[in-house]
Amino acid sequence: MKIELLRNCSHGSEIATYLASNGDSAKIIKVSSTVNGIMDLRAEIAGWDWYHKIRYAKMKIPVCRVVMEKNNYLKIEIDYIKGKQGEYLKGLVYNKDVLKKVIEHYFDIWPVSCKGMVPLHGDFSLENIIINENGVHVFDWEHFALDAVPWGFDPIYLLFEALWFNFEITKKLNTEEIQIISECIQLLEKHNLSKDIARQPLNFLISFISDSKYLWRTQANKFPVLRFTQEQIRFIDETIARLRQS
Amino acid sequence: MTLVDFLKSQYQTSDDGIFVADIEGYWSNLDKEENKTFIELLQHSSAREALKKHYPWFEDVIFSPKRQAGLEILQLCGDEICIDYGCMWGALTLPLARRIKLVLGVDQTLESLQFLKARLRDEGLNNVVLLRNNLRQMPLFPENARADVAIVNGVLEWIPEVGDIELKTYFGKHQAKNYLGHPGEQQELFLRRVYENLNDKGKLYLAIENRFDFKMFFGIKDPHSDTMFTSIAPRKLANFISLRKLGRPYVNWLYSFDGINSLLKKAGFSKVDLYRCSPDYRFPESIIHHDYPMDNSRLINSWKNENGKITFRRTGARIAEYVVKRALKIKALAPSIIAIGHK
Repeated sequence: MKIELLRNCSHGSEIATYLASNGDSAKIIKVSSTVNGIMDLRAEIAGWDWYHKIRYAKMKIPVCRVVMEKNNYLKIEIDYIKGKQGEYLKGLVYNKDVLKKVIEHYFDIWPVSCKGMVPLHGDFSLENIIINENGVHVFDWEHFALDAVPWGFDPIYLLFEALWFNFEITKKLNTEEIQIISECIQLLEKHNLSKDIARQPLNFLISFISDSKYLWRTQANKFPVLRFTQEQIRFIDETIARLRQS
Repeated sequence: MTLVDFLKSQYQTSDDGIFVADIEGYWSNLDKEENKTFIELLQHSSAREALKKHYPWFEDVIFSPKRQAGLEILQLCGDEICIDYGCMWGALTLPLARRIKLVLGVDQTLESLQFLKARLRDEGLNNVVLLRNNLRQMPLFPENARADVAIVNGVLEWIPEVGDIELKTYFGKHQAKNYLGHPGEQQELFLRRVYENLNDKGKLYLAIENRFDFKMFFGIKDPHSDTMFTSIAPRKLANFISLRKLGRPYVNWLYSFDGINSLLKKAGFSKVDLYRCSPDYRFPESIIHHDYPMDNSRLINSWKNENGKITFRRTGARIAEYVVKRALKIKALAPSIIAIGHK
């Protein structure tokens, strides 16, 4: 088994992530020996467990397993999912179809009928999505929390993170991209998204993250969407509202 | 006879429970006076608090969770016994103690071991024994006291050094010195003893800067002697540069991938797995098997500095890394090496 270090405590995380491969089989290994890192790994286990029961109900082997646990040290392994990873830096126009597939996947997994709070993925980024012949797979559940966010929080994050990366590269807020967000928000609204959130989605997203930093522990400030200025937030939300009315 | 029984039979114990060989020797970032005062402070506060208050710039070096990332390559199962050679302040000793049955930490500097002892106290870890000894004078352990794992992390290059070293007044400073023996031979002898003190299925984890790290060709100074081009130059030329600048020969020998492979084979190891490590072995962001092609290698150097600004230095580092990794795909110029030697 050859081990490759993929990430080491990146973006304020206290977890090291490895790819262990041996010919045909491969696994993702995550390790931590700090209090915060171990809490994140426990959230990852709980997240996979929750997701697994719905997404992989027919599979017998758990996707995420504890390998070693002792003396403030936790090591877990996750089955490697082959497929195409989301290209988060390429913006909304390029990813339009992928984003719609991921939102459809959200409808399949997250209880649409729920009136209260729903489970949080917490880093629902294109980077954490794999698409293959079996459909969409969401991974990286380090921020999972049960009944922690209003329905629709994660896909709203997905959309605005994609918008941010394109904005960071082009330095322009593209109306075509905001149009795609608006369409997706309307799609979410048709299912279960509250009207209050649909009216000002970016403002809701940023206020919620800022008010609930405890959910992300050491990584609360890593989210790129937090770098949008007040002026940009207002412009984006007003544009979405205008497109929604028309 | 267990490892601990053997240590008890060979060495005296200090008041704080450290096994002590009858040796001189000192190697520390702090000078002796500073260390003395610092160790006294540990009686009244935790090791981390004391360090944060008096030497905050060392906090990351000692406590960062990033430092232990290389250990996973060993694929430990939890019941191993390990010897951490040159353990110093315990950057890897504590992470090892959390994973396995018993760790023996060896270092020549008593004060470093006392600091490590305080860390173990703070963390409630009682599966670590400490030995003050010169690494070149390690005894041969009896067969049933031999270890499953040996750690030589950033230590091999210091093996040829002699005398007390207070890094502040030594690193890059002119200080004439005479050495006994050939640096490469000293390193080989040390590794041979490391090999002998492993059991039949034992493994060595050795981490060291690559002699041919691509940055060295751009005039980045050798991190041990603070001289330019000494690591990449032929040994005789490196000696000449070091004698001119520091008044002493160049002894902190680094190795290439091939060099470390043949040194470990000469020391007795039957199989050596090599890993490329970036940006360095102490705070690795990427560790990849040396057999893997360069296509898998991520670019580590960012265009931007810690403050998010694009700088000339960062741009240069990024371009150089791009050229080496993506354009020329030269595996041999990786910044650091991790070698796993199998007995």
